[in-house]
Amino acid sequence: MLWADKYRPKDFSNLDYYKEQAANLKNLTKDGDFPHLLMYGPLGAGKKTRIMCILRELFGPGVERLKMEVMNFITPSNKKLEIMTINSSHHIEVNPSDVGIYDRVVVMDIIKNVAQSQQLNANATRDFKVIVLTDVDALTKDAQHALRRTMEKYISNCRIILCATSVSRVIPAIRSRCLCIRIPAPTEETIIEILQNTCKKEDLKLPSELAKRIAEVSNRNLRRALLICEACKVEQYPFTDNQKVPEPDWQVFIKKTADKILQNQSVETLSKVREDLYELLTNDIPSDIIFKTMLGELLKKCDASISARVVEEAARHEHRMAQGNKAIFHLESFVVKFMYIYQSMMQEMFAEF
Amino acid sequence: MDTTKKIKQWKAFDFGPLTKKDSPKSTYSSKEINVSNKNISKPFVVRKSFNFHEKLSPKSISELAVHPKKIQEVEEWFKWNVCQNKSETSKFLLLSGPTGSGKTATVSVLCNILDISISEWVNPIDQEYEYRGMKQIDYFIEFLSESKYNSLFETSRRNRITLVKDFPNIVIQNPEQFFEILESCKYKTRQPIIFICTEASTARLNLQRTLFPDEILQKFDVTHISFNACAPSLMKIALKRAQELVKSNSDIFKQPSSRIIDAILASADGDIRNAMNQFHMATLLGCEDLPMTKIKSEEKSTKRKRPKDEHKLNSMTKDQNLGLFHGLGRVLNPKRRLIGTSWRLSHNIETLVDEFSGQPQTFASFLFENYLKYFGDITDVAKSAEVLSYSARFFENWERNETLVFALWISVLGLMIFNEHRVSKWTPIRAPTKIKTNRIQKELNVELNPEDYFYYNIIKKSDKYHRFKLES
Amino acid sequence: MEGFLKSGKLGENPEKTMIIMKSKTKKPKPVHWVEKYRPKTISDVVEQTEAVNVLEQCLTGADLPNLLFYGPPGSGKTSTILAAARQLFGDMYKDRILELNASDERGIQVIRDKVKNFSQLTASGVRPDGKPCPPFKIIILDEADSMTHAAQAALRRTIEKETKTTRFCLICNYISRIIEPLTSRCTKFRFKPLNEYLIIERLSFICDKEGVKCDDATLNALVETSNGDMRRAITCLQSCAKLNGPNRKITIESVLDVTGVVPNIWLFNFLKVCKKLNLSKLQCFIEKIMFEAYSGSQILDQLNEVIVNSDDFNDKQKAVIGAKLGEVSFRLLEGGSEFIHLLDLGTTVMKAYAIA
Repeated sequence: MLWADKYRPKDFSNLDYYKEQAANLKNLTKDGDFPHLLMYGPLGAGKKTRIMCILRELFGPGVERLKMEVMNFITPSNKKLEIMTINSSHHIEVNPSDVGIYDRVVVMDIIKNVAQSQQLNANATRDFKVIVLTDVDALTKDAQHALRRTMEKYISNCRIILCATSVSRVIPAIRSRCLCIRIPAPTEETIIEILQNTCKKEDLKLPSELAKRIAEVSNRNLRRALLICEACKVEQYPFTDNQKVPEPDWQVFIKKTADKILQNQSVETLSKVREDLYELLTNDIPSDIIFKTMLGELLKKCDASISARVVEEAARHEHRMAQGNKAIFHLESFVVKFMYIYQSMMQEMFAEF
Repeated sequence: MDTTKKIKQWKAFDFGPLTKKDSPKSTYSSKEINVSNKNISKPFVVRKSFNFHEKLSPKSISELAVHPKKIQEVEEWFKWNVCQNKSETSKFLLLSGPTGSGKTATVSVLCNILDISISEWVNPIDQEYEYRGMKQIDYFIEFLSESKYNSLFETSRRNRITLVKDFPNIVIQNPEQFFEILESCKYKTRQPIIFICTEASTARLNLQRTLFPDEILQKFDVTHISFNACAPSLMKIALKRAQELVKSNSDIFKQPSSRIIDAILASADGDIRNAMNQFHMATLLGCEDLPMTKIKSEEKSTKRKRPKDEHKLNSMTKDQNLGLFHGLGRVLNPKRRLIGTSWRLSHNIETLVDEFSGQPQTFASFLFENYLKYFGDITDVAKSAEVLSYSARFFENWERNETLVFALWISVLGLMIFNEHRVSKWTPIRAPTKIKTNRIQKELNVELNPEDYFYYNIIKKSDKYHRFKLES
Repeated sequence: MEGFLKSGKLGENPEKTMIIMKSKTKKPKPVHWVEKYRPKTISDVVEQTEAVNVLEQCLTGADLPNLLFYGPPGSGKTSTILAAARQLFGDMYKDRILELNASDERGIQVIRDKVKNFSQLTASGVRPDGKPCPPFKIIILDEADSMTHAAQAALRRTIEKETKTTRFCLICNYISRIIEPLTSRCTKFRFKPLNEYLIIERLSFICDKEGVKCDDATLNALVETSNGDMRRAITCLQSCAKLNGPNRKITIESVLDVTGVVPNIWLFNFLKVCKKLNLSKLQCFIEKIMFEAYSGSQILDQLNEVIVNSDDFNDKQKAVIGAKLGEVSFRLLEGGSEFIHLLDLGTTVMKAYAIA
C-alpha cells in the first residue's frame, strides 16, 4: 500500500491540520439532522480524508469495509454504461464524470436507487445513507441541474456529499442547497511536518533540506508530497540533502514541448507539438492542466511586452476548450497563436537593430 | 379538333410496378374504345401501358449485368447449400456491393432458374407492429426462426431461402442484438438466409461493417461475396438490350440518340439501376431531350444534369467515399483565379459544403488532422487554427444541424482563404486521431490521479502506466 | 365582517407557532429555519409596503388581481404570497395553492396539464369551519424567469381562461425575462432588497428563539455578506450554528468561512501585486489564492465592489477593468479555469495601472 493511503487519518482526532474545522465537522455529525455537504479545495488538500472521517463519525467503523462494484446503467438511447463504485453498507462513492456526457443518467439513477433502498438494518444508527459524488465540477450542466432536483426530492433518506476542486464550476443552485466546506491546500510547513512524521513512522530519517525540496515540488499537494517522498526512498536510501527529487514526467514533457515552441516557430514544429499534445491527452492528463502548465512555461520566457497579449489569447482559448470536448483544436490554436505573437515580436526586435 | 390535339400531348407514363395479374396485355391491350361523344368520329386511342422495368429485368444469367465469375460463385453457393440437403452447410450468405451492382437481381434470377422460393423480410410499418403489441425486432426474430415451417401456399417441396435486405432499425443501432439473433438462427433455422448489404461510405450507414465484422463472418461461417460496381462493358450490353426493347415498341417509346446513351454510360458510375431509370426517362415520348452539360475535365464525354433530388440521393450513397478525398483536396489545395488584382476561389464552395453537410463533424476532423501539411507559413496557420478552434465550439451544439453546417462553412472558408503560402505536395490523407482515454481500473484503497501515475511507476517499479519519453 | 376576518386570522397565529414549537420538542425533526421563521401574516412582512398594502386590501374583501412579484432573491416574495394565502384560506390553504418552482418540470406540457387541472377545480366560498373565504385558488409560479418563452406563452391563454377560479402569482428575479403579454396581465410589484437593520432584527430574534449565541459584530458581518438577502442570511446563520455545536459563540471567522467570502486582505493584495506590474509575481499570487480554494466567482464579485468604490482608479481605468471583469465572470461561469482567467484579469488591471 502506498504511504499516502497507509497513513491517511481515519478519525477526526488524527487529522494533522485544520483542527478547528475538524471539530466543527464533528459537531455536524452529532445532530440528527445532517445537511448535504459540498467539500471543495485543490488536489491533495484532504477532501476525501475528511469525508471518510465524517462517514466514520456518522456510521462507525463499518464504513471502512469497502468493496468495489460495477454498476450498470442504460441511457434513454439504450446505450449500456458501466461505472465503478466503491461502497460500504452505509455509503456509496461514484465519480459520475467517468461516463462523460451520460453523467446525468448516473446521477439520477444512483440517487434514486439508494434513496429507495432503505437501511435494512433495524438498529442502524442513522436513517439515511450517504452518496459521495466526486469531481462534481466536471459534471455537465445538465447533470448538475438534475442533481439539484433529486437532492431536494430524496433528502429524507439519503444525504449527498459532493467533492469538487473548483467551486466556480458548480452551479449556484447546488451551492445554495449544500453546506459548503472550504478546504485550502496545506502550507509547505505543514507538508514538511507531515513528511517528517510519516518518515518517523516508517523508521526513516528525512533530512530537512530534502523535505523542503519535496514540499516545493509537490505544489502544496500533500498526497503528491507523500508519493514523491516514497519515490525518493525507492530511488535512493539513505536520503541525502541534495538528492534528486523526481518531477512528474508529464510536467517535464510539457516543458520540453514549450522549449520546442520557443526555439523555432514553424509549421514543422507545430506538427511535432501536435504529436506531443496528442500523447499527453491520450494518457489522461487533463486538458486544463496541460493548458495551464504550458502557459506557465511559455510565460517564463516571454518578454513583458507580449505577455499580456499571450495571457489574453490563452484565456480566450481556454474558455472555448472548457466548453467542449475537442481540446486539441484549442490547444493547437493557442500554440500557433503564441508562435505568431512571439515571432512578430522577434522580428520587430531585429528590425530595430 | 381540340380534343385530338390534346390527345397528342398525352404522355405514356407508367407509374409504379404492375403485378403479374393485371399485366398490361390482359387488361389494356390496344383495344379501341368508342367514346360516347358522337361528334367526334375518331375514336380514342388508349395507349398501351407498358411496364418497362419488368420487361427489362433480367430473366436469364446471360442477361445479368454482373461479372460471370460472381454469378458463378453465387450459383455454386446455391447449389451446394440450398439444393442439396446436406446437414453440414453454410447457412448464411452475405452479398455486399454498391447500389445497382445487381445483387438482388442475381439472387432472383438464380432462384428462378434453380427453382428456389424466396421469402423476403420487409420492415413492417410502425403502426402495424405497435398495434399488435409486438416490437419490430420480435417479428424479425420470429420471421427468421420460424421460416423453417412450410408456407401453406407453397405446396411443392421446393427449396427455400430467406432474404433480408431491410434490416430493422434496432439491429442497426445495436449490432450485439443482431449477433444474438444470428446465434439463435444458426441452430433454429434449416432454411439458409441471404443478407444483402449495400455499401455506404459513412461508418454508421455501412451495415456490412457494423453488422458483419470479420469475427462474426468467421464465427457463424458466413459466406461473403462482394459485388463490384457494374462494369461499363456489361452496362453497355444491358443498354443495348434495352434499346432493342424500345425498338420493338416504337409506337410508345422514342429512340434516344446515341449521344444520350453515351451520356448515360458516362454518368451512371457503375449503377445499373440508375442507368436504366435514366434510359427510361430518355425514351419517354413528349419529353424534351434531357439537358446535358459538358464535363469540365478533358474527357470528351458529357454529363447530364439531373433533377436536384436525384443528384442528392446519388451523393448520399456511394460517391461520398471518393468525394471525401476529393473534397479534402479541394479545401486543402485551394485553386485561385485571378481577376485583375483580386482573386476568387475557383471551386464552388457551396456545392462542396453541401456535399458534406450530412456529416460535418467528420469532414471537419479530417480537415483538422490534415491541414497543417498544406500550410507554409505560421501566420496563415494562426489564422486558420483560430477559425478551426472557433468552429469546434459550434460543433458542440450538435442538436441543430444548421449550426453544424455553419461551423463547416467557416472552417472550409477559413482554410481556403488563409492559405496564402500553400505547400503543394502530395501527402497521404490521415484519418482523425481518436483520443481514447485509457481509463485503467481503479484499485481499492489506492487513489491516484493521472498526474501522479509517474510516482506510482517508480514506487512499485512497474510499467503499469504510460511513461513519457523524455530524451533531450 | 372584514374586521372579523382579519382579527380571526391574527388570533390564530400565536397558537400555530406554539404548535410548531411543541412538535419540535417532541420529535427532533429538523426544520429549515427559513421555513420555520417565514412570516405568518402579511403584516409580518417587512419593508415591501406597496405589495403589503394591496394584499391587505384583498384580505378585507377586495378582489385579488393576478400578481407578479419581482426583485432580488431573499427579499420576501415567496413569503409574502404564502402568508397571504394562509390568511385568506386558513387551514385549507394547502389545498388552495399550487406551488411550482423551477426544480419541477415546467415545460409547456406541464403548464397545460397541471395548471389546467388544478385551475379547473372549483373552489367554494366557505371554509370547513364555516367562515367565508374567497372562491378561488392561487397558483404560485416561483422562479418564473427560468420558464421557457414557449411555456410562458402557453400560460398567457390559461391565465385569461381560468380567471374565474384561479389567481396567478408569478415570482421572478428579473422582470425582463418575462414576456410582455404576461406582465401586462399581472399587477407588478417590485421587491426591494431588505434594509440591513431589518435583517439584523430578524436574525437576533431567531438567535433568541434558537438559543444561539452571536454578538452584534458577527451579525453585522453576516448581514453584510448576504447583500440584503434574508434567506441567505438565515441559512448561513443556521449552518454556522450547526457547525459550531450548541453553546458556542459564533465568530466572524466562521461566518466568513461558511459564506465563502474572501477576506478583503486578499483583494487588496491582488491589486497591490498588479500595481507592481510584474507578471511572475502575479502568477505566484494567483496560485496562492487558488491554494486557498476561494471561489473565483466570489473573488470577482468582491473585486468588482472594491474597484468600483476605489479612489485608486480613475473612471477610464475602471471602465477598462469593468469590461474585463464581465468577460471573465462569464467565462468562469461557463467552466473556464480560474487560474488563467484571473491571470487575464490581472494583466488587464496591470494595463489599467499603466494607463495612468
